[in-house]
Amino acid sequence: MNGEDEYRDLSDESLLGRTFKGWTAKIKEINKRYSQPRLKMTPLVKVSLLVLRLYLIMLVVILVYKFYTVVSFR
Amino acid sequence: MQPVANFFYKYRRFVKWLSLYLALAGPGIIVMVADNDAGGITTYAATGAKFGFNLIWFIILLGPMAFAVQEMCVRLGAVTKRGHAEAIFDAFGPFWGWFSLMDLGFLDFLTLISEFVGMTAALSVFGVPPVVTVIGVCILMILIVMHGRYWTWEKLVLLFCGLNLIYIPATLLLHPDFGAIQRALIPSFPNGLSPEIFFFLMANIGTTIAPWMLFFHQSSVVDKGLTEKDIPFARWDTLMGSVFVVLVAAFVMILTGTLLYKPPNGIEIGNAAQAAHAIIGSYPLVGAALAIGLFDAGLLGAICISLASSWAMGEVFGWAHSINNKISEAPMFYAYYFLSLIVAGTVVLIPGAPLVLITLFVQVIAVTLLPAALVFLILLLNQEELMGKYKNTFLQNVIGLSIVTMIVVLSTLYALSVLFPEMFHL
Repeated sequence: MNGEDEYRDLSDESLLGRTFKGWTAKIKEINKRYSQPRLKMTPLVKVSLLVLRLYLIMLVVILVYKFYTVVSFR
Repeated sequence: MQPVANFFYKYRRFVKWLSLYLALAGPGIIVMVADNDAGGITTYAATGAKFGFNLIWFIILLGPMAFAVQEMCVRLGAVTKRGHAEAIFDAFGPFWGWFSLMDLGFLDFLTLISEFVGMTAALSVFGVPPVVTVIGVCILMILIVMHGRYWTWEKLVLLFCGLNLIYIPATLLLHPDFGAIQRALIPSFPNGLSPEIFFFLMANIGTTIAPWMLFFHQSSVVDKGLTEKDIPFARWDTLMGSVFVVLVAAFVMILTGTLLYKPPNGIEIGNAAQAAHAIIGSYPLVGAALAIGLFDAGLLGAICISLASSWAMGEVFGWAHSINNKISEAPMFYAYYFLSLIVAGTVVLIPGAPLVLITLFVQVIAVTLLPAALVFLILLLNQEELMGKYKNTFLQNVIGLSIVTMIVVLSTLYALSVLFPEMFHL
């Protein structure tokens, strides 16, 4: 492989592309590492997490509504 | 001779205890003092200007509350040897883990901007241009971590914590009415519990417990290498920190309450720098102290907030993430720290950047993370397999749950009042 081929090879997979691939692989690895939550899922834990999800959904709805009112009043 | 010998024996034990305490102290004091960040000082200054000494009792109540929450972080860090972000991933899985990490990264970045806003406003009192402040702060914060030693970093930051006490002599120079202050320690609401006073109560709670504090404190306990046997000392450290946080907050309120409050309705100030500008003409020393304190508060907040995110990212992505590492040993950890600093500082310098909106948005985003982080904390502290004999007792759970419920309800109402002020007749 001469110098020109090497240059083409590097440019085919740009630095950005390689970085993106590297990050994706890292995120997949993290997801795999923590795929089994260590916390014992007792009914209390399940209810707490459910309430937390509902609370966050409510907040998102409120924020979307606020955004809508700000945009529409403009 | 015997009583003298006994005295020295007791004294030696105390000195031994004190030297051990001083070696282990740091994370608790730093996190608590940094809690009085630029936003916090502004809130206390505005509360004092609006209500005088009337809400000092409320600030004193917030001290034990902050202690109870942070003490749980100490135990969790010392027992698991893991930061809060990693503990959430491990215990609750990737969904809650990514949610917390991304939310923390975003929130910390916005808060960092608000710290830079505070610091530039503070030094503008002395005529320092914002660009000089931003560049100076970035260089200073890079120098602080460059030693590659946690001990050096901690002692330097503790010096800045000491500077935060500047409000105490500044206030004493004014010879405040101690009789009135003493009377204000009895809980009461001037003119009843109006929507306005409720807004200020919520703002003070919102500034006393911030999500980054949980992440920072636990990670710093781990980075310092504290273990189970150090928990009693770390508790004292946190207790001392909560005393400092209340003292500083109360003295800021007394300062603006003495100089700016006009009964019955007080005056409204936009930020602490505005108060410093108003005061410096007639009381140069006090005005200067208020500005220096605000700058120091912003600097401490910036140091801790940028580190909280860097530690959390390092824990999850598996980068080397200790202040004991040199830059070459933990390049990603320091790259995140430097980059967040430089970008946040640059945002403040952009002409016409929506800085007020960002400051308000911080309070709204905080309530998306704070309840989750607090709920995770309580759940983790109740895991016997994880915590062993350091798990929460029944009493700790009752206190912890009451505090968490109150913080969640009030901080949510605060966020709503920021989004929809008309709903609260503000």
